[in-house]
Amino acid sequence: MDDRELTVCRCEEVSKGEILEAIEQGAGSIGEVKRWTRAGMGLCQGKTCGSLVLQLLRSQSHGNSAEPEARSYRPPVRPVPLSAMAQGCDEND
Amino acid sequence: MKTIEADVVIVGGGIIGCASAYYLSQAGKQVALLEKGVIGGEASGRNLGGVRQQGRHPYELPLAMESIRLWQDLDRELDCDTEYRRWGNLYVAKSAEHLQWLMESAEEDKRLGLEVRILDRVELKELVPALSADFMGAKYCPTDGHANPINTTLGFARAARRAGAQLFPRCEARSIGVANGRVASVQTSDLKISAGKVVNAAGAWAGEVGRMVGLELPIGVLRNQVMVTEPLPAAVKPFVISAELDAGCRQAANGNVHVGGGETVDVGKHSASREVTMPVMRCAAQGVAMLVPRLRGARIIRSWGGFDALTPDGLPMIGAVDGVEGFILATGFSNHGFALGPAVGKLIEEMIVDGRVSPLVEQLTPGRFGQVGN
Repeated sequence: MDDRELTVCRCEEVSKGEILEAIEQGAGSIGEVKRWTRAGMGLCQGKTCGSLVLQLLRSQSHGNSAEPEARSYRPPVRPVPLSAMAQGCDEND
Repeated sequence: MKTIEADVVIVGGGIIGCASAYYLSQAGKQVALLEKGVIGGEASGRNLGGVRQQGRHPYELPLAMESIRLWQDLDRELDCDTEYRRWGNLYVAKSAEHLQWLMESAEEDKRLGLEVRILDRVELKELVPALSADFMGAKYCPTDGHANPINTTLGFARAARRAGAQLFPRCEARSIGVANGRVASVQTSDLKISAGKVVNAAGAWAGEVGRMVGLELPIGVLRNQVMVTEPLPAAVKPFVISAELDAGCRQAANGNVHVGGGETVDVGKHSASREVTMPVMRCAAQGVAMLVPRLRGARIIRSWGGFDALTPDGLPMIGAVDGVEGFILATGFSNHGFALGPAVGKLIEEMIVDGRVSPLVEQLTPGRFGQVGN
């Protein structure tokens, strides 16, 4: 099996090949790979695939020493029902 | 420092900048686009994705109607899946007072040539069975809809590049050279681009870009927040908005429901925190849980905040300014610019290529705020 067919983002079913293609076309950060391919946009929000995407970015950096930007963390930490969000507490509760 | 030449420099890689770059390149202009971050990384990638005509100010409606005309053929034009769905827009009413207000606004829409209709409780239930029975009616615009904002912005960027535009992501405009009252060049940390036209499409950052030519633009910065659920079976086709509950939602092509609402805050500056705040999320979640009860158990997987430029009248500034020739504004969209992107890009192209100011933007020129700056 061609290793480009490996699934990197299981939630959104994005393959290694698709991610490499995005990087070849200029995606240089986790945020761009996500916007271009949807890798990391699924249920786990990149908790599973984020480090793999980062590895791929590093491996393709073509001598560019700048560390690729890590993924950004946004609430909620784990998926929560809309109804829980509707009862959400204040920051200082 | 490397120097290149272009006909037009566009500052800002959101939908306005990328659409302008696309249409200008198609028309044969040499375009260089500077984006301090990544393409579609700010408001154009952080909005709810509404492609809507109804509910707009009469000055803005004709522009929105022209944009919807362009949207219909956009996937083919850009060779891109924008996920555009012409599935309508609903402004729903809980109270008789609000329904009365929607009926009056429907008359105004019709007078301006927009096809809308008032739905009663039964018709509303028929159109969106998942909607709560608490709503007694709605204003419905069948030619409205929604799309994927990131795909659309990237689609314009890629089509612009194919048409010959040079795009520079992670490349911030630092200064603008002005000679004899005309723009002459734009500089970044390692690049100087000579050009006779500069388009300020910098969204929430447009104030800084204005100051580079000595203008003090009358814009503030607003912050909006969005939440998204896990992918769910198709439940809601139109974009649904409740002004009474200050909430709205759309279900994207792959099933995720995008939830928005809550107070849109003028934060004055975009350096304010990008973090989401609980009161705003709670308001949006409460509203959408009331709108579509079956979403109560839907799990929210992510939330985010975004910034956009806010003008004193909440309408964009599109056009030239007095005193700095060749400097063109396309900013101030005040949180409702995404749908307008295609038409604004096309009109910026006409303004630069034909020297023509379309009647569609006559009421939206920066001059309505008097002399801006200097």
